[in-house]
Amino acid sequence: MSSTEELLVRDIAAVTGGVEVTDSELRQAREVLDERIEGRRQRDRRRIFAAVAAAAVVIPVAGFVALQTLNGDDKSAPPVRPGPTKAVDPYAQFLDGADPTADLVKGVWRVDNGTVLVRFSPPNRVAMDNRGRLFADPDISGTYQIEGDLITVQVEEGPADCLGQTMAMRASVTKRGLMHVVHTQPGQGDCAPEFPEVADDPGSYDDVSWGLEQVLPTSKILSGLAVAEKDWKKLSRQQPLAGDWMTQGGGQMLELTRNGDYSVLAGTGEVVDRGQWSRQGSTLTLTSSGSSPSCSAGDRLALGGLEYANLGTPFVRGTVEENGCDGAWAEKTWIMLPQ
Amino acid sequence: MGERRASTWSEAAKGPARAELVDVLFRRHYAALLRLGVVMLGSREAAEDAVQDAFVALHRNRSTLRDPEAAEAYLRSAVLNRCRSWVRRQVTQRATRPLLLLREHEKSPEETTVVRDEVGSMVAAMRALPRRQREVLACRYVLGLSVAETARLLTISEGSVKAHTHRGLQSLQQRIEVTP
Repeated sequence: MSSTEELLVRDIAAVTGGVEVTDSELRQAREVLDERIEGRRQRDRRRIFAAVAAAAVVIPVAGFVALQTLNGDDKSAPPVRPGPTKAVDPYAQFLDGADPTADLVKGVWRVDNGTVLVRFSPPNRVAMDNRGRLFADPDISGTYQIEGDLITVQVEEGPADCLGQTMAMRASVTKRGLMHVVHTQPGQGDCAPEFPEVADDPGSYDDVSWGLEQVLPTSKILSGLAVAEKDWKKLSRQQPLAGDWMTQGGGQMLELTRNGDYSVLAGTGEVVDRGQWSRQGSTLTLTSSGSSPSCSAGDRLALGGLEYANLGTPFVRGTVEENGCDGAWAEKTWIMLPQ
Repeated sequence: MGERRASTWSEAAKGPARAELVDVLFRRHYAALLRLGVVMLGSREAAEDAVQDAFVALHRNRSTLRDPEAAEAYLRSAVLNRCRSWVRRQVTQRATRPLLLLREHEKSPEETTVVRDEVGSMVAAMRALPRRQREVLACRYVLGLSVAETARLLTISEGSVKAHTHRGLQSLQQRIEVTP
């Protein structure tokens, strides 16, 4: 037995050892059970009685209709055939909103209380990621199509066992900037919604729903995030900066990859600047590359005296020491999107 | 032990009423099932409800009720199903609440580790595992079932039981605090 097994067995014994059932508790529980069984029996009786009563009405009516049909003088409308039993949709309330359209879903979304970022971009591209590299090298990317409230994703790039998979999800834009999603056909293995370990059975998840809030264009809720002045501290050397960030107030995102590349994104996720980033002490420097759409190669944005606040996710701000490209995002505070 | 159980059961089975059979099963299994429920849900009240529900369902299921082994398996499976539903209800309630701007339960590495000597911390970590993993671990270590018995109860293959056990334990291992 491994040490983890031993620890678990010991802890289970400690927890269950505290669950004692005395004779009187057992008697009480038995009485409660009797009451519940009796309650159930009475409900069943009522149900049977109602069914018998309904059958007693239906049989003569059916007989009458059959007789009329046989006589061939049926002037009334044909009897309505009972339709299929309407299945109860457990997510009806959750999905109460507008059906998704390419226009409504366009942009970047984050899973509420989760770590996954989703990007829908024209004409039909979709990307998902939970490692802070949605734009540089997302976990999963492919195409999507919408039919009614169903979004179907065809995975074209991603972890090995994810390629070629089809995922399907019902979606509803409950209001501008908020979308509810229910995975009707989650991916398998690495393609499961929260990207758990390979071979975890998607059916084993307790929840198949996502609440999504829009990062780009920024929803009103996200654009209202703010930090009190007293919460700011000097940024420590240990604080990692790689990941996806949004500007306080919304409008832009910044992606810092672990290999030193960066992208600044605006609108619905279009790149406005890209290049290499570096950090020296409490100074962050972004140096535009030749492929930057709106800055010249070598333009530098230097943020000095970096400060940090943690309200469940890191916030970072600094003083602009250099802004060669005159980027509108330079003076903003950045909020890390959980990954 | 098996013979004694069988003889007790046949005596009860000779009785006319389903209530008597339920009574025998109730006395025999209530406490163990309650412990299973407490481990799975972390709440005695919710566990009592799940176990009561399982017995009500068994009472309606005449054919299972006549076979003691089938009844025992039925009860275990019913309790696990009800625990699953309870967890799902909690999650659904979460899904319909207002969105959280930031992550709920954002934990520091210190908070996510399992403190070796803190009673219940391993069990709490087990409850946070994916459903299959926690159910397999509960069958193996709470009910004390073998791999084959667990596979039958959860209607999955023995290979899956081994894989989920391994992954579940590995996940717990990663959370154990490394003590100097």
